[in-house]
Amino acid sequence: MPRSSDKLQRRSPLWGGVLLCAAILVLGGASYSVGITARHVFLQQEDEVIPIIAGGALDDIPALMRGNLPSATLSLVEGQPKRGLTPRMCELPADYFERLDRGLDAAAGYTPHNAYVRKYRARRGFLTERELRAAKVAWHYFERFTQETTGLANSVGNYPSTTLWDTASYIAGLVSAYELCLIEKPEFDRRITRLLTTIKSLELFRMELPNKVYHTKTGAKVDYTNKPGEIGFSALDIGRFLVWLRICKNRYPYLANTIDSVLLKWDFSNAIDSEGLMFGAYVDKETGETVYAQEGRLGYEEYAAKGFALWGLRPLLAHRAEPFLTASIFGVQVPYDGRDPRVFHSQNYVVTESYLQDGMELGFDLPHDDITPDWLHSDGWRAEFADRIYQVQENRWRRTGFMTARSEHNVKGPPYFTYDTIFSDDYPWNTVTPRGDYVPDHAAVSAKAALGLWALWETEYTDVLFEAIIELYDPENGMFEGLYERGQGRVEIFTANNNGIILTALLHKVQGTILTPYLGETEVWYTAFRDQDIRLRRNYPDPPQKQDWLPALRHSVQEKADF
Amino acid sequence: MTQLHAKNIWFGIGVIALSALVPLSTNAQSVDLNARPAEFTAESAIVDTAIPFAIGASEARQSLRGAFGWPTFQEGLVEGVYFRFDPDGYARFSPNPRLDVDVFEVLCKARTKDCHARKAGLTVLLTARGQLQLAVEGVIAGDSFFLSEGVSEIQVPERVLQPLDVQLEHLLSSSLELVVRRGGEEVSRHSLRGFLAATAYLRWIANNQDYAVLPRDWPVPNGRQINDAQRLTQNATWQSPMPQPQVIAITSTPATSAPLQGEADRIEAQLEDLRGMLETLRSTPPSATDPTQPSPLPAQAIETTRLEQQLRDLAAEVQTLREANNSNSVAAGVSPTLPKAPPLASPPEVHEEDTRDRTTDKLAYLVEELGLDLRSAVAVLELAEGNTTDMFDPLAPREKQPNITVSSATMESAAAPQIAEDAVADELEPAPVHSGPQIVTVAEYTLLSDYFRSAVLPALQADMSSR
Repeated sequence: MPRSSDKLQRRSPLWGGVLLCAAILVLGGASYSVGITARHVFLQQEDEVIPIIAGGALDDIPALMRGNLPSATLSLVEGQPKRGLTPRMCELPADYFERLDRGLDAAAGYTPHNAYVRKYRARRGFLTERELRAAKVAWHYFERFTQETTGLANSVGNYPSTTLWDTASYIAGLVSAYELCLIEKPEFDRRITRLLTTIKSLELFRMELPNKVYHTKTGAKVDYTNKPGEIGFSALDIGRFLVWLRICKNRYPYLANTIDSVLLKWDFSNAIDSEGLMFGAYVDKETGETVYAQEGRLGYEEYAAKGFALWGLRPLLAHRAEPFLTASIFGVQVPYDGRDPRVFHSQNYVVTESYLQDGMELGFDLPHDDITPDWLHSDGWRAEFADRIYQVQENRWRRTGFMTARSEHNVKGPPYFTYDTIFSDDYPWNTVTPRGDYVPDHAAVSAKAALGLWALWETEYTDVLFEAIIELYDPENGMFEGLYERGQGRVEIFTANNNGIILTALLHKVQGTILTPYLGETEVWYTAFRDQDIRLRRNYPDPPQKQDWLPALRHSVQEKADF
Repeated sequence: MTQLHAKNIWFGIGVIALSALVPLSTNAQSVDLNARPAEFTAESAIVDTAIPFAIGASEARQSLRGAFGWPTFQEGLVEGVYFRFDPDGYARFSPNPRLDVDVFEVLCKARTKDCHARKAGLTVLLTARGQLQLAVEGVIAGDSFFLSEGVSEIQVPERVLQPLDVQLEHLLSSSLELVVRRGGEEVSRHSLRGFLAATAYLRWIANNQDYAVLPRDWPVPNGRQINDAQRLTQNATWQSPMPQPQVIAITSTPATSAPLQGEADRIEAQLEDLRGMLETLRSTPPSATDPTQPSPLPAQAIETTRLEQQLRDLAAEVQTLREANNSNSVAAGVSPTLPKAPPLASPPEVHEEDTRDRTTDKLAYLVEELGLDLRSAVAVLELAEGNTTDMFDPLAPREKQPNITVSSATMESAAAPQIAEDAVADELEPAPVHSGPQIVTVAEYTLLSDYFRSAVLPALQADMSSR
């Protein structure tokens, strides 16, 4: 026993070292042989070649050919069917609305893809007798105040002047009148063709984009005094106009060429910058030069941005909510634009109108969305913000008794126009003139805002609003602008914007989201001038692909009332 | 029967016409489709919002969304009130930047500069003569008016409702409230915050945005038309309503002759008038005087005769002396670059070195330069001796009147205080070298014609009548 233990004691360190070296050698040799073998195996395999098919996804298509690409929409990417077209009201089956999917079982809130389901649903159904009468009266405004010579409709009563914003309202009225069966196709075609022909022939502001104001009798560009002259272009007005041109083009493909030819005269090179901000233009008083200035604040800016995006342009930054702040009003965090008016010299008015237009015309959807149902809003934060805008107005009514449906609106007599805001310049329920004077006596229930809220939020409160304004009309001239909050009666003035939006609201009740999917293949808008440098100079876009889509975003949701 | 039938036809036509007109008129009344403003036209713009009303005011663009409206406005802060105004003259003045409380509102008649400011029962108008006039609602005869400045009150007369004089205007501008009392009880109380700014605005637009009509100490921006920042340093282009010095500072720098020449011509014309008056006096027939009346000044007449004799004796000597003096005056320090003075101005610049009889020189001046006859000249001298403190003696020795080295220019400026100050003030800097005990002020200068009318002429008339 003692002998064997000595053996072990002697052999132990040397044996260990030898064993270690041997193990290293064996392992290294094995690794080397495995590596060499693997290399031989891999090298012996054939090279895998991915063929680039002309016009395919991997093909870096030259500009000359990009126009042939189809616009990538959600239906194309996900392989799902597009939303269908809703027939005109007089052609709707009697049980149409009984079979309509309204998503009543869907829970309110954001979906994983940042789409949003609102707490309230839009009002849907056939028009009642009173609603139909309101539609006819509203349409009568355009019958009376459309100029035969140009096909343009006056902005305000018989004053022969208009903007692209108000012309879009006229198109809205025209489409609504046709879809609600107030007019038939010959009348619709006569009017829309006359209008588009005039718009195509309009003299642009310095060869770029339409002037802010045009004389409706002559089609001449004018200044704010309706005298011949030019004052610049408005990106917001153009954005809204683009929304309605897209609506017309998608609904009525036979108008597509005419509409494309209108836009193919315009120069978008200064309207949207590389960051995706929208710019308007005005004339410098001293030098007479064109000055481009960022245009649009939270609400209007995103709506107009989507108008540009519907035509393939990419207003990435304009579509974002940031920078925005919130103001707590009646327990609701009301979002408003965070750009300081003292620095940017532009007020951050919070009104209902732009949210209503986004909801009714675009369904709070992203421009590439052509599949989601009306109750699911793919541009989620817009719908969520709109819910706040609605809620704060209902809360005011419940807490103070003031019926509230606030928007910008014309008034009779000085100051002729007011921003009747939910919030602006750090004050809630601020009614101000275009130069910023506080004019609380001009606060009113805006007819267009009231009926828009009524269409998009089917609630007890909007029923009250409906009752307040539905009989505010003059059968000869259209719907009145609104009802003064402080008891001075009706706002006795008639405008294209008010009557156009009222018609849109009524059409939305029948057909839902006004914008319908594009059913064609490619478009002249994308294929024209491919053999020239005009597309480059005028910043005409290529058909948008998936990477060009505006992002679906969400912002923090207010869980409970904030008092 | 035929006539009756015709009447019926005409009646029927009338009824039809009426029935056709009534709905039209009813419709026109029910809805004013011309509610849109014809005011937004170039003709209705009475104010240029690019011209700042006060320092710090700026033009801004209106947030127009519709097809019409005023594209610009101006806003700022002055005299403790915020203001905004449109091209049509409509303005608001308020101590609150929101312009929502205690607002003075200025409204103008369409396409005119006929404007008024109003604030809750108080209206301020600008009369045709440029005076302010208050109108207070609910005031009846016998009401008393008080101005309050926060601590105490003072009563103001009822003429506060009449066109305001300067004193009342200043009083209102510096007060906070106008209180109306009837039988000791307060009837109404009107805030005067913004009164000064609003009334200044009324005057400003009534005078085509001229800064000269704004009150003293108004913060007037310099350079109405200046675009180049470098021009800000050129004070000749500054426009200021501030009163400019009316007595030109004494300086050794010669005055620019161009603006003075016009004044010299004016004085020359006055001298012509003076001569005319003398001629009239001379041509007065002796019969017009009453020979039965004793001479009121026999001693003076004797003295005059003596002086006439003395004058004749010295007449030949005068010319010699003048020639000698002309050469001495240059040597005495008068700048050789002095522009050629008008004939009137040359004698005062003569400086005697010796102490000859100054009476002779005065007489020579009056006779040769002013064209008086000897009798009148002597009478002037006699009267002048008794009133030397009130008149300017161009030949006074320098020891007693040290500031008259360029007395011709001084005289002219005193005679014409509105002389082109801008041009002159740039070149005539205050000269501290004259530190004599007696400072010449404008009050010491009197136009010779004025003096003649007030003092000499009555005496001469009396003298003539006494003969």
